[in-house]
Amino acid sequence: MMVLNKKHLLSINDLSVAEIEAILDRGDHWAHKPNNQLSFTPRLDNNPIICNLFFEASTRTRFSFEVAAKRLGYYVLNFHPFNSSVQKGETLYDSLKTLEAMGVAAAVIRTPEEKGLDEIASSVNLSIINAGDGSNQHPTQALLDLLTLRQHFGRLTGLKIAIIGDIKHSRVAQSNIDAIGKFDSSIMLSGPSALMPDPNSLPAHATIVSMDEAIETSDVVMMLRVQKERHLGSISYENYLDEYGLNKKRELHMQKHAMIMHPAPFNRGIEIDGDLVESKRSLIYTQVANGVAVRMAILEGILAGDFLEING
Amino acid sequence: MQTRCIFGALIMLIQDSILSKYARSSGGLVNYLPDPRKSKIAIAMSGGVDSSVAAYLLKEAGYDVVGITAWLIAGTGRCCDTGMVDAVRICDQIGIEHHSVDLREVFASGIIRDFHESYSRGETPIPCISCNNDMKWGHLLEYSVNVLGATHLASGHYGRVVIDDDKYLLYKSSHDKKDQSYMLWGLNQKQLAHTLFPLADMAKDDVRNIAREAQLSVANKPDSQDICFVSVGMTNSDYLTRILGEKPGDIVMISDGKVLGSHKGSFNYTYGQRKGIGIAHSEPLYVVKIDPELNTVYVGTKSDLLSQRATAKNANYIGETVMETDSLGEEFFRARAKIRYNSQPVAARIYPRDGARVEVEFAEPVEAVTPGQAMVFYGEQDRVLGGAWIE
Repeated sequence: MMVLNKKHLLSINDLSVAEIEAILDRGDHWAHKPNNQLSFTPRLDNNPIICNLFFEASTRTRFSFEVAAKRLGYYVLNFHPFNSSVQKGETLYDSLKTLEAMGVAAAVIRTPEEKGLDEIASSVNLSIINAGDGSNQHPTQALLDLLTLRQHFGRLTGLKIAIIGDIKHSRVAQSNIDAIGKFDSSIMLSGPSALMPDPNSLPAHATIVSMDEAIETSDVVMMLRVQKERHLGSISYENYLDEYGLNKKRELHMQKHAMIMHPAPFNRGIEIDGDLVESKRSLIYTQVANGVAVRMAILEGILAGDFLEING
Repeated sequence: MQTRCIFGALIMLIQDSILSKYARSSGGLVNYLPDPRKSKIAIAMSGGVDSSVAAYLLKEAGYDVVGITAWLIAGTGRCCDTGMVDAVRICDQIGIEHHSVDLREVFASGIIRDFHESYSRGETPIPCISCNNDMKWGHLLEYSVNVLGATHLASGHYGRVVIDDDKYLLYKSSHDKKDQSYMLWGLNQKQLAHTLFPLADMAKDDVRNIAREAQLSVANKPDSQDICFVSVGMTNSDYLTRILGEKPGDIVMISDGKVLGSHKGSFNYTYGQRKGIGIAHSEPLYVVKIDPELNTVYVGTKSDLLSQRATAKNANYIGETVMETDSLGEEFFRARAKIRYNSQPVAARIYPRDGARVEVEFAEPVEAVTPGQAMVFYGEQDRVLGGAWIE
């Protein structure tokens, strides 16, 4: 039996390699359980209640957490801010304290704010799971990506992973750069130069390369969604597929064994050709399924403190 | 009759459900239920037994249902803190999604503030009606339609919506004892068109029985009675004293202007109140008037409580009324006017005035017409013709 001795999950950097491996093992376990029933665990009055607080629209991630919780027998309270107003510092703290008083065990938070979760987490008793904070971190996405990579390649070491798109503003890219850095694999970043991070800020295992190099030499091409809501400025969507997207012509230049990933939702015809989403190379729907499995493992690990019957 | 045709078609669609069983027994006035194949229903859930059963019945009748709770109160209040979690559990048990919409700010700046101001004006407010109009059938309905993609907002209120050609009419529910149409008179056509009351044909016992049979965990939860934002263990008077502060003033006999005693705040009194005045007198004394400017509470005998007339503001009318003209050539309609939640309606002539005001002439004098309360007008077959706020 393995104990995940964590109260919160705010960043992938909160986790050691051993903890990540344990989450992936448990996620793998859930990924192989039949998916045809929503609930496996009997719902008892004292089962945990988790609250989804999404201050940015994301039906997909919210629903993934909801399904994960319900499969575990947990209750789900979906909180909606009125008029989508962001709750900052004190207000969010008050909301969390009230939810805590109501008996809510964990809050899953998605926020456009990049700072502040750490501070709030240190002053509340319920658990906080970061479901994406601005351009900062999206740890559950990184974990589901790791699980998907490990399932497909059988390892997390010695892989060359290309991440293509708006790296600078992407919490998915940030979390994956951090996550993959914990294993002996390398990252190639590519996309519009205005959207590349400062090379000096990158860790040793990550480099910025040309589109051709990224496509032709990687084991995995991970495309990022063009985030229209974050304004790309000078970048035009019309030519995006040809210039920085994964179109069929580029796909031909990928290594034979190389795979395609995307955190979804995708813009078909902008960063990725629609046909490639469902092609043999695509792991995109596996990622979605693994999202539920990994989130089950995280909720369990954080709320139960340990994974019961790890091989059960 | 148009309503009968719709009734027949819908019973076909929901015929195996508990809802249809009760709908059949209701007779003439058919409670509006939409086509389950074309509807998505958000049910406003307080965590109480009524809204829980309403949600259960809709789901059982084959509707696509989602639970929605308005989070109204910032601190601890009587309803929403435990209610929200109960609602979450019930939704889970029924097998529907649950959503909470954070309306704490608008509730505080709207409903609660108005409540305090109304007391400062010497009135006895009834915040639940404004909350229905502005929060539940305002923000919550808007959220249900715009964000959750619902076609309708249902609630566990005991009321009835009936479609008459292109109009949505409001009626009392089948069982007079629990009827809540008094709380719903403020709804307009746009709101009523999206409104469902699944409990229209049920008595409270029916609701409890359904809850027990369905093993809903809230089956035996007591009904809520009080102002929801006043904390458990606190009286209204404690609450208002804390918010408005002690405001000592005189208690004065209305007939002769004699000062009989003192009070610590006129907000502790309401029109018609007999108990707790704390003045010994040869015959029973009642609060008959509160003057906020003089901070004076007037008392008198029972006959001083009677009024033949009243005025009210911000009237809302639902559907058509038959206008008549009196001997002076003034237009009015006949109705039975209910001047408080726990009173019987009395026959009255309602004179609509400019600026959504009304003047009301009762057929016989009524007791304790209280500013801040609502006056609701009932017509034939207990149809709600409208209502207004007593001045």
